[in-house]
Amino acid sequence: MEAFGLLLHGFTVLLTWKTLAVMMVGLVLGVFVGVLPGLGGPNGVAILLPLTFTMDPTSAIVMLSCIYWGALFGGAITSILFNIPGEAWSVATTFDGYPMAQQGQAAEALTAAFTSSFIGSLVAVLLITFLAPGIASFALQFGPPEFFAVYLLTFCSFVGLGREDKHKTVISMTLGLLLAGIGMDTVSGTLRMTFGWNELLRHQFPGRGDRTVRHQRNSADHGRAARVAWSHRQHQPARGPQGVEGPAALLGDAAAIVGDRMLARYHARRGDCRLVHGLQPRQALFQGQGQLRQGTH
Amino acid sequence: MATPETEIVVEDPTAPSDNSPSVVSTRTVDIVVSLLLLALAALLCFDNWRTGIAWAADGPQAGYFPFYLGLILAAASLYALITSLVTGAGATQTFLTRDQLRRVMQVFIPTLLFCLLTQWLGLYVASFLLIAGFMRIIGRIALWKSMLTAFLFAIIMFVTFDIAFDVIMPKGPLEAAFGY
Repeated sequence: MEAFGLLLHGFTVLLTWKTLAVMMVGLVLGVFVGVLPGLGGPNGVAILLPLTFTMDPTSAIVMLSCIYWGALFGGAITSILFNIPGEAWSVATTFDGYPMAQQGQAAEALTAAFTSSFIGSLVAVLLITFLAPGIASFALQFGPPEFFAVYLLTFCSFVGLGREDKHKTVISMTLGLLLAGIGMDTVSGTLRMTFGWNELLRHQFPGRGDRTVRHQRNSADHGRAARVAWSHRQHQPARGPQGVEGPAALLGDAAAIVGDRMLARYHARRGDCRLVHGLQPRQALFQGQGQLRQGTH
Repeated sequence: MATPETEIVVEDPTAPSDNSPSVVSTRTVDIVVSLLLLALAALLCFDNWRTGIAWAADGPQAGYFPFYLGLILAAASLYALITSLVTGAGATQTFLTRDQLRRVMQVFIPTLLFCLLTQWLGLYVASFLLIAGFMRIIGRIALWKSMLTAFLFAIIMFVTFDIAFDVIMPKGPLEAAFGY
């Protein structure tokens, strides 16, 4: 029960008024980030990173992770109320949540989304805490071929499960993956599909490159620049070393949103409400999966 | 679970009317989009073929994966093209009515102008013009309210991006006059 002891130790570190206040602020900001479509958890964390410059490491990490968790729930709000998923992982919520909102049950839908989000994340965190040591050795055997197989399965199930014309799903998926491929190939470092046009290389978060330039310019602020550089290094691995897998995952999700919104529209048009009873388990399943996925990354 | 008692109906007084004349049918749009996608797929496949689609000693060359994606895209759009040409599905279905087109253009043209103006005037002046113009002309909101909102918005954006987060946005003569 070493993991259990570590978990309790974590709680003793976290259960102070200051940390709880930081959590609160982080969650509120995270909900805002989650509500904005197109601004996801990772982006929100990247944008709000400067807020943590003056904090001690524990508060900073607590705040950033709370922004992330807040975004996990925030995405459901627009899914339910506007039929627009605020996040890639809340796409499934539009299937059931929006029809419920149309019947005037938005409050129930939001409560269900929040509850399932809470249970899903609790289970995911507990699972990760207790199973991570066991999974770690197994996970290391997951190489590029296995990742490719998993993503292939994902995309195949998008095609198979979608109710739109199959070729339209294929088109939006390949288009998303192709857009992700523009720029530098992460395996060989060769440029591709840029047609010698530098603007096509700049598809990352806009501030990243510029910020370093600015900080070199007023180099009096060494400490801060060093910290920004550090945070950049910390930020990179999320996308970098796994090759095409990171961006492809993001854009695959984006492609899926397009397809799935059509699907959700279709449900809404038909007034398809048979899903209402199946709401909770399905959502818990989807969101729990999302969280497990986020956790293992 | 409570039974639904109220149904929310959102009324939009300026909504496009249903009997407005059709501009283009779904079939035409399908065909045009398929052709565009086919052209895009051909272009990307060609570029990837030029980059290299073979398997080098150290792994796939840069164009390997996107090349095959392009092939799949081409196949899917070809399928879409052939189905719309052969079956004529959606020939009588209206894709866009004139009223709807007008509405889309009311947003599209200002946005296009905004993008162009950003190149010359910088992001902040252009967004001031966009917001003020939108509120005044399309929203018919009082002039001072539009100007004030747009001004505050531009200032908040400037403080957020340029000062707080050090993100350098395109700037024009006005910002230069203030020394930024």
